[in-house]
Amino acid sequence: MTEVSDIISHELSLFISQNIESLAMLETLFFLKRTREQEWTADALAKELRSNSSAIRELLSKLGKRGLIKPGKDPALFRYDPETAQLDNTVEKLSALYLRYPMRIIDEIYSPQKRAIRNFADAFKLKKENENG
Amino acid sequence: MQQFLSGGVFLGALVATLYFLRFWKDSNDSFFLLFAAAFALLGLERLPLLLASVHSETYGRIYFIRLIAFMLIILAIIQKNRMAKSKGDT
Amino acid sequence: MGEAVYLLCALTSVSCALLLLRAYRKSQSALLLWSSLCFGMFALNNVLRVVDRLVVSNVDLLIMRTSVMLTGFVLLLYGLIWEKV
Repeated sequence: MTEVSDIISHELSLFISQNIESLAMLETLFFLKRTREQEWTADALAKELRSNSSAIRELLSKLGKRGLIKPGKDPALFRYDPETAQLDNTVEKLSALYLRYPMRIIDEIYSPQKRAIRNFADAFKLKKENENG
Repeated sequence: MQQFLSGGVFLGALVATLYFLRFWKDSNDSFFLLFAAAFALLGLERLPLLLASVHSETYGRIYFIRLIAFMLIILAIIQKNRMAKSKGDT
Repeated sequence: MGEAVYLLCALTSVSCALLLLRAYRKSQSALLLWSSLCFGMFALNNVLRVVDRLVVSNVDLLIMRTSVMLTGFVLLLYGLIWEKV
């Protein structure tokens, strides 16, 4: 898979490889961003997106641990709330790019080499990421 | 026979190091840089053994190289978990 | 002192091998399996080093130890190269 001059900046590529594991996760993140004034439970979100609750729950847990979404006063409710302005900026750039070049983003998410590398590094995280609270 | 095996280990470590360096370049995760350094040391460990050719006395000092290599691996793991924790705290 | 170092290395290797194995079970990424086995070989190598130093006998484990180390690297390389496909 060769790109002439890559549409994806290194920053975005890094963000994807470190944070976005699947298209579902990307879409969920973008959905939460679009509705950022609202807070969602996993069940409500699953219903809205026509997905299943346990999958959404796992996604939310991971997104939360990566500083992209936060629980509200009620820990069951989540909203898009990135830890830093830079993260927000990155997600914004990503969503703009995704609108124009979805295939490229999808390729990037699923490029197996990156995934293998990420899996290797993630193996050494002592705490498992998807701990359901 | 020993030289052959030792040479193989050296080359294996070298190739592994190169792969880890590439992973580091691709992911910008310093975790891989540390692993690359550790594996480079595991390869370099072969050289004193080669030069000395007498194995009983030199083993006394050799382990320092291996110690540093594994300390680097431990460091990589510690660093990875510190980053993971700070990213995910509530 | 040397023995302590090798035991530490053995322990670290075993830990790495187990972490990689656990992750392999979750993600099914082949590289993790091969690198886990590689670290397993490293652990064995370090244990053999300790044995070689402590147990006085006619048998010199040098060739066996180096073979174990080489096997470890071959396994790792196999995983690294194959995964790249």
